[in-house]
Amino acid sequence: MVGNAALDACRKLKKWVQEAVAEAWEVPAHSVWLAGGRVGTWQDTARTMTPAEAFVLAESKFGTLGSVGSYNTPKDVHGAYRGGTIGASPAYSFTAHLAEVDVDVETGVVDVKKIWVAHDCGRALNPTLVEGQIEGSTYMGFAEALMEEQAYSPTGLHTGPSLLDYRIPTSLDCPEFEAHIVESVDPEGPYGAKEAGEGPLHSSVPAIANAIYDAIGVRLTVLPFWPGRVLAGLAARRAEGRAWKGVV
Amino acid sequence: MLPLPRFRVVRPRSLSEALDALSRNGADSGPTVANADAWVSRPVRLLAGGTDLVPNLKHGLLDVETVVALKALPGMRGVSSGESGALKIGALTSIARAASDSAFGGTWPALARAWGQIAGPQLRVMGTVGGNLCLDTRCTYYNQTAHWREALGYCLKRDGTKCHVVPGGTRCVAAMSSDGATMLVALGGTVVLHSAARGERVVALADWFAGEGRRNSVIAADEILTEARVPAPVPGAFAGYQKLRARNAIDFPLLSVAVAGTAAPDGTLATARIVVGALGAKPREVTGLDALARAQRPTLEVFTALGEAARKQCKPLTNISVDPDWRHAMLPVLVRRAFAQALGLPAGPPVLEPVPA
Repeated sequence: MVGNAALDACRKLKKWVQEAVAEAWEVPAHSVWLAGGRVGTWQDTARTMTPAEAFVLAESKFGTLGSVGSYNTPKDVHGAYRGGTIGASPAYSFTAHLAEVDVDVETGVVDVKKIWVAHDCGRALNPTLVEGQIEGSTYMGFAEALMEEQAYSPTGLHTGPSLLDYRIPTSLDCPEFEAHIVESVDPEGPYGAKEAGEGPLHSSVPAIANAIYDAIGVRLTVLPFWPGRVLAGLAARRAEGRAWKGVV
Repeated sequence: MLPLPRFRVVRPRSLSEALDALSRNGADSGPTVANADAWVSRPVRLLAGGTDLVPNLKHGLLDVETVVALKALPGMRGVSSGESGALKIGALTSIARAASDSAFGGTWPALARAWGQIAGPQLRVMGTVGGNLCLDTRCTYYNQTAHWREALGYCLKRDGTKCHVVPGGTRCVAAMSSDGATMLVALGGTVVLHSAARGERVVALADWFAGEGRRNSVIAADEILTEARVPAPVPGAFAGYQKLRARNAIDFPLLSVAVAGTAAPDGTLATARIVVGALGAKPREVTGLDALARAQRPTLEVFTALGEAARKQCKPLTNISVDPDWRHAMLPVLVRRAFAQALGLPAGPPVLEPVPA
C-alpha cells in the first residue's frame, strides 16, 4: 500500500520534471519521457539528457522538489471484510519456511542448522534487496523463536534492559539461510510488487516449532523456545510414558 | 547515552611508576566484609584492556579519581617457560594471544579453550589475562545503568544495603564470571602480585578468591597482578572445560565447569578435581571426589557420579538472570562432558533415558 502511495507521489514529481524539460527544449510536456536511465522526447529522438540534468532543470524552475502521494484500498476487492486498523490490503504476500534443527535432549538447547524460505513478494523490483529482506526477516523470526523475550522480573523491571542482557543471536548462532523469491505480478501492487517487509518473518517461528516437534515430539507453545522449556516438554513426555521421537 | 565520569589518566612507563600511582589507594589487610565498601570506592583504578572497567564506569558503578593505564608497561606480555616447565603468562598478554599460543596447545588445551570462549573476538583482543583474573563480580542487579538500579533501590554491592538476590543477605553474592580463573584454579595456577611497600608475593589461585562479591580477591589496594603461572602437566594429567552460555559468543558464563586430574599408567583415575564458576563470588571446588574417582576406570558412570556430587554441592542463584533450576540441572551434564572431553572419550548417550513408546 505504501508502495502505491510512493508511486503516486513520484508520478506528480515526474510531471514537474517533464514540464521543466519541455520548457528547455520547447516541446510539449507530454512528449517528454523518462526511461532506461535517460530523459528524452518523442519529438526529436536524437535529443536526450541524464536524469540528473533533468532534475536540475526542474529544481531551477520549481525549487526543491517534494510531493505527497496517497493510496486507498479499492472498495471492491474484499467484499465486506475490513482489517483491524488500516483497512484491508489489496494484496497479500505469502511465505513458506522450512527449518532444520538439532535438539540437544540433555541440555534442551535448540540449534537451528538451516532455514529455507520462499517468499511471494509480487514482482521483485530489486531481487538482491528482496533476498536481503527475506533473510533479515527470517533472522528476526529465528531470534524470536530462540532468544528474544520481553520478560519482567518479580521486581517489575525488564530482565533485558541492555544489549548484553536482551539476547539476540550472534553470527555464530545463526543458521544458514537460503532465500527463494517467488514472483507473481499483482494487479494492484506498484509495478506488480507486493511486499518484502516483515511478511517473511511470521512463518519462521512456527517452522522452527514444527521442526522441534518433528525431532523430539515436543509441542512448544510459549516463546522463546528456551532450553528449560524444551526439557520441561521432554520431561512431560517421559512422564506420560512416551519416548521422544526418533529414539526407539 | 552512558557518558564516562570525569577522571585523570596516568600512563606509567615502568612497574615502579605504576605502583607509585597506585599507592594513593593506601595498603589494607586484604578482603573482609568490613572493608568491602572502602574497596569499592578506592580512588585509583588500573586499566589494562578496559573491557571490564569501561562499561562499569559508564554504568556509574565506580568512584574513580585516577585511572592508571598499564599499556606502556614493559615486560608484562607473552608466554614463557619458568622453573620445572611451568608456563608464565604476562598479565598484559591479550586473551586472544594467550588462547592461540602454541605453548598451551601441547600442555593445557583446556586452558586455551577456556580463554577462547571469553566474550567475542574483539573483546579477546583488548582484554588481558590479568584483567580476566581481576574481573569484577557480576550480578543482574549490579551490572545495570544507574537509572535501572535507582528504580529498584540500590543494592549491597553498590550504594545500598539490601541484597536483591538473597533477601536479608549481608554478603554480596555477585558471580565470579571469569572463564580463565575457573580453569586456572583447577590446574593449580598461581599469580604474582607486586606492591611498592611489600614487594613481590605469589598467591595460589585456590587462595585468590574471597567469598564476598564486593571484594572477591585477595589483591590489596596497592598491588598489581603482574603474571599468572600454570604448572607443567605431570604424566597422565588431563583437563577439560565446559561453559554454559546462551549464545556462542559475547555472553559471560551461566555456569562454568573446569575439571582436572591425573590418570594412572593403567588408565584408572588417580586424582580428579572439579571447579565450578558463575555461582557466587568465588569458584567452588567440589569436595569428596577421591572416594568416587580414585582407582576407577574412566567410564560414563563414574563421570555421572562426579557430576551428581557437583550438583549436590553447588546452588546457582538468581544473580544471573537465567533460570537457576535449568543451570543447576546442567551441572552434571557439563561435568560429564568436561571429563569426557579431557580424557578424549565420547561424551556418551544422553543422560535422559528414553522409555519405550
